[in-house]
Amino acid sequence: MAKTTIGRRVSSPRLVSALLLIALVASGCTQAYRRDEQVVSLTRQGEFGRAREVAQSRAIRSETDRSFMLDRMKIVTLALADGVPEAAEPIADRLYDFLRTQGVNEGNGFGAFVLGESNARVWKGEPFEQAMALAYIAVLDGMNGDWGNVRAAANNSLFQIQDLSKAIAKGEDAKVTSNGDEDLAQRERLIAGLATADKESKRDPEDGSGAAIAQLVTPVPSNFALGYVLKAVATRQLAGAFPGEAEEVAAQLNRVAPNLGGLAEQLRSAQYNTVLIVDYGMGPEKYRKGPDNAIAAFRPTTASNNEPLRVTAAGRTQTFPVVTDVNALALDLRWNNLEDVRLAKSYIGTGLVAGGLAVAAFSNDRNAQIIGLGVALLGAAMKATAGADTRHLETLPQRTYVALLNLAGPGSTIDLAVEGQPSSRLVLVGVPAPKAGKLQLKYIRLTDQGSPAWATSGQVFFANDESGPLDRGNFPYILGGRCVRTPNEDVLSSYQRSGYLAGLTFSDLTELYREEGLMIAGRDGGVIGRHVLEGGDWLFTPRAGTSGYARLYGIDRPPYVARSTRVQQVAEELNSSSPASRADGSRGSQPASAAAR
Amino acid sequence: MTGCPCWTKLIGVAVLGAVGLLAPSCAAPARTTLLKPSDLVLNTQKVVEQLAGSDFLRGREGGRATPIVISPEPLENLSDNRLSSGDQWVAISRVLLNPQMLELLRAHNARVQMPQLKSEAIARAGLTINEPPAQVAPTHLFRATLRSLARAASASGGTVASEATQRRDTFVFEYVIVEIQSRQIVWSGQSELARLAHGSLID
Repeated sequence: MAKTTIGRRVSSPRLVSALLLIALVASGCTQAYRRDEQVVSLTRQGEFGRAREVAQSRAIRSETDRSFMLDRMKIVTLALADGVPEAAEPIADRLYDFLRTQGVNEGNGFGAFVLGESNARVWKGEPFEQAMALAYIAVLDGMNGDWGNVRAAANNSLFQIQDLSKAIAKGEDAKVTSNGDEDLAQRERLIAGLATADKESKRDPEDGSGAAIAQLVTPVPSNFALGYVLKAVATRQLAGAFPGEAEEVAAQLNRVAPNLGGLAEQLRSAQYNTVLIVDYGMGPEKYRKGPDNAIAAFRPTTASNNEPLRVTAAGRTQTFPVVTDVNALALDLRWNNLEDVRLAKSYIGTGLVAGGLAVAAFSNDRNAQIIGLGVALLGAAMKATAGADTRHLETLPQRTYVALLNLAGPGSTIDLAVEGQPSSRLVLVGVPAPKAGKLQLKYIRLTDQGSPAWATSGQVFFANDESGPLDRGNFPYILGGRCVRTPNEDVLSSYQRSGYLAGLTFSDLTELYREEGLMIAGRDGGVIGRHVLEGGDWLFTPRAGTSGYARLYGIDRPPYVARSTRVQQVAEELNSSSPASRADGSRGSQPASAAAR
Repeated sequence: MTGCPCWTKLIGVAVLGAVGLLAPSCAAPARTTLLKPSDLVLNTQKVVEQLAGSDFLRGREGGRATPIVISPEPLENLSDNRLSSGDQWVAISRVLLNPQMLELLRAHNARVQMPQLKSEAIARAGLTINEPPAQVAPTHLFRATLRSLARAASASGGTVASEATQRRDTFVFEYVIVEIQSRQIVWSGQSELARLAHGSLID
């Protein structure tokens, strides 16, 4: 074998080794994103509290990590499902500011191009994920009755999207390699169309500047129906500040989604005082395919269909259509991003590797060999990093419904289910009607696995801030009762009127919770964790009329196990000295040794 | 052999590549039109000056005027930008609790009474204000509204508005003091500011 040298006396065997290393690098080694299947599974079963806890514990802390905002989006969706928007409000504030920041990854074009998407500055999500995140922020504000913020967030979710049909049409004659994969074929036609536009404009066919996109893409109004609905609802509540806007938005909804004409008409009529935003199923999973795994594609987790939501409330049953199908958004090129860059990178990378190796292996010129190797390494690096980043918001639902109801009275029962999906059924009890002239918004996440008992019990087993005292066990859960209301003077008075805790002051009562290491939402700082009814350290009340409320109070729970001697003593005294505590069905307290927490 | 020139050439190529990869722009343009705390400070000064020169205060003859108690309501956000609940109260309290404002009001026999929860939050932040006794009901309300006008365009003048690279938001803060009994607006003030941001809105 003829010897070639590179630098100092580098022999042919070393050159072969270098080439083999390049080949290994070129085999595509970007790690795929690992979906949090535990969180997905817990969400599908309705275990929103546990899912939220797991997501919070696993959330990346470093702000420079690409997944930082992705983890926060997950927490927001799960806090809403758990009926505790206050658990995610600071996160939602930050998330909104981030989503509204322009050019987050600008200036990273070349860096991302060579280093791979995973080294781009931050993950912001596909356009449809950004729209859904903004919609959830609007829902959070709606649960707080902040209609100005609902309108603003919903409005921001209605950004224009890019229509690529001209570019695809230009590449209609391309020789696709997809073998029956229409999704891949459409992307190949898109690239061919862009390359053709580059050629016609005398640009390099492998030009990655995006000039061809600017030439061929048409901005079109958003078809994000959920955004229009939320905006119409909010505008109606702003007391005439935007005359005519609610009707205009309802008309826009009708234009982009004619199948939602009935809903648009209801929005115009304003004959509702309760809005239910109801999510069902799990959103699509992102995966890689195509040359060098460069294409990010989505596949459904829950299948799409047109099954309506059936809602029975106040003696009336209505059905509501699917408003947003997340599967459809994910598969729509108008709602995807960065595809052209990844594909172009893959093809350029392949070309560079071939060219580089030829120079290095066959040139006798030392400088040419060095340059050839450098080019080959660059090409190999590009191929290795061409694999698509498959990060995605796995806690998204597959579909969203919007139900507009007119409730009356202090506590209504609402029975919901997706038609044909009995495991989705949920019974909400004690849903209060809002005050006259006011509107309320509730967020509900239906289960699509498991049919948990709490979902259909139709009962409230524990007194809370929404229900008020129950007719039994009106003393704190931590002392053996059935009350988990936030302690205050009025609550203490109510206990004492029921014959419990006579002589105890409010300060004494608060101290008992402190002895147990329990924290109270709205008073104590920190991230709201698991509820004391589930063995956690927090006292909070999910909003009535949410899946989180039904989940927490809709089944009986094991007796509380006291941690501190003081609370054990008080509980024992209470349960031994008060016949009422036995007669009304309350459980006695358990000594600390009976069961581990 | 020493100082092999081939390695310096490789290093040179790498450095050139790194410059192309990593060179940031020296003066980064603004990336968001969202309001910053400094915007609210600017806004406060203008409003205090307007109130100082108003007929409402001039008509109150210093310490001889009937005492009034002013209580703020939450800011009404009618803009195209979400404002966190914390920032909504900042927009109100920066104006109403500005030391110059408080002094001005006190000199005209007007006192400020914050909603109880907000008083607690202010106290936790280490701030103090001399509030009237809790049993004194407010006589006036301090209200604020935020509106905005947003415009987005492509810097290159192209047609790709979804890749809009410029956004301009003009914010208008409107403040009023309303007499509760008569529901009459006894004073109004306004301040305006504009913010421009660059970069793709969706990326």
